[in-house]
Amino acid sequence: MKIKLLSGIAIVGMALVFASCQKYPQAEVDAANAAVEAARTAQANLYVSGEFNALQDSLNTVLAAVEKEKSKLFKNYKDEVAKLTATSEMAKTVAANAVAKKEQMKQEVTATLGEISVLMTANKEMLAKAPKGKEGKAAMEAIQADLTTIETQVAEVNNKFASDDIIGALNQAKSLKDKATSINTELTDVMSKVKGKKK
Amino acid sequence: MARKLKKKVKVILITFLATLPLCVFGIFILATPESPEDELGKARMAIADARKTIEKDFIPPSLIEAESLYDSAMLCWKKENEKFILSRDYSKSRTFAIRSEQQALISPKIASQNTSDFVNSLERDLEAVKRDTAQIEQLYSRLPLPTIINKKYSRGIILLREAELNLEQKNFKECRVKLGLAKFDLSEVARYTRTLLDDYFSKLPMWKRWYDQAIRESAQNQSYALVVDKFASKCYVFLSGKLKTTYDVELGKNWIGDKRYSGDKATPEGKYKVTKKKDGSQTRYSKALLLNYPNDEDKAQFQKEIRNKTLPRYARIGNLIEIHGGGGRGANWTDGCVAFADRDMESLYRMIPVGCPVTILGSLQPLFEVIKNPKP
Repeated sequence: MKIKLLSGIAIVGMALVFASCQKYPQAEVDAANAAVEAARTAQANLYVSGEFNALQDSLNTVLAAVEKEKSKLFKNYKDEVAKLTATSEMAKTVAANAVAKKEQMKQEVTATLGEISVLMTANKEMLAKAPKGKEGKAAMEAIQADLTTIETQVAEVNNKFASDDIIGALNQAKSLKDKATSINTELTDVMSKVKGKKK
Repeated sequence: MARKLKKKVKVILITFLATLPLCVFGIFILATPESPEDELGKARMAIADARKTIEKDFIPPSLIEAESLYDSAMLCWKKENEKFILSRDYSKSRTFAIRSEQQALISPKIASQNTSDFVNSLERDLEAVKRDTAQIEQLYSRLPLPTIINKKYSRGIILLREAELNLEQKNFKECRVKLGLAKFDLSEVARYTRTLLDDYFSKLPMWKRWYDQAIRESAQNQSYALVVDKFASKCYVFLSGKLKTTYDVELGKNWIGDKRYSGDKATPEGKYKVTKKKDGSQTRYSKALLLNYPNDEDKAQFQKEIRNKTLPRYARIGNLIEIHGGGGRGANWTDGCVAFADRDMESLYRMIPVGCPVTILGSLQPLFEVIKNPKP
């Protein structure tokens, strides 16, 4: 009986020794790192910087937890594996959000450029009808210069858009729209005076 | 006896085997070095907090160093974990983690100082450029400027708006770049405009003399006198030296400066008289008052410019300068004439006789007054 008990203790002891050698979750660590890197490649740090910082923070925390487990005599990576999987999922969401945000901004740039185009067409039409001198051109050269500047800068916006600088393109497009709108207001005012005069 | 001994040895052996792992575990548990988990946790939190509070454009070198130290601490920890459990030494990792936390903790303070200094100066500069731009805006819209200056102005305004948008989005460095470019363009416009105006307003004392003379003569002769203030785009009608009424006028496209030659689209400055009243088929406008431009002074000045070769030999002196209708367009558009709104022209036409003196001058206000209150 005594021998059997001691044998049991010996077996449990050996089992514990083997249990302390649980495998390091290398695949999960690599997957989490790769997922965060993929989020960075999707420019999450630019388009959803808050979410990306939180993600980076989560990854750092879980990697530290993995190391903490690795430092122990009896290792159990079950929780850490779950956290690593969750981090990978979070990274995928953050990357998707970045792509969505970027797409939204792209659409905003396209829409703003469309609005600029409409305003520019209207501005050109009004400029053509705006008060002329006796025979020559009207004193509308300043406005013509504005329109030329806007057209040049629209090309710059398109270049930025093509080179993936969506934030820069959007800001420039917004300021161009403001300028085109102010010209439109100015010309509408002049045209209403002309119409009033014709009546 | 031998059997009893054998059994005793067996018991001792099994007991030894049973207690050996426990002893080994005991030794391992007691001798395993404590991991740098706490220090790294604190460093990580300090870095995360700093990242949250610091604007992305103002991350100080201390935070970059904190992150680098954290990475080093993690690396050391990993390296030590690869070793046999009893030979691990986390002191290096711990030291890196502590230094990382220290650097991360001082970062927000450094960044805050840098950020507030930078943002304050940025906001100050932006306000200054906006103020200067607003000041020249009213003047600018009325001045005949070369196309290159017009382009610089519109580009500057667009860049200024971009700078504002970047400031709203806390893209401070991009804001600084855009503001710098806007400032460059707009200050060139301001410089050009200022030079143009300084030059223009250098004749103010002479204009004041003309104005005083016109009123004096109107009072002496008990007659009408017209004074056209080009900068204010106004025509003042005096009767017997007293202001009777004021009209808005529109001028030549290049109204600033005196008329020099035919086709320069400038409105002349000088003392003239109405030589003819035109209506019906005599004029393409409803009514017109023909002036005696060029007068003797204009002719002398033109000849002088030809002699001095400041005008080419083929240049011709202008003529047919009138006060006529067709105005009220909100722009300076004539070839050099003074345009009134048709309704105003009708009433002026009825009032003004042939021979009425017409003084066309640059401005009645000094430049600083005009800049202070650009909209007449």
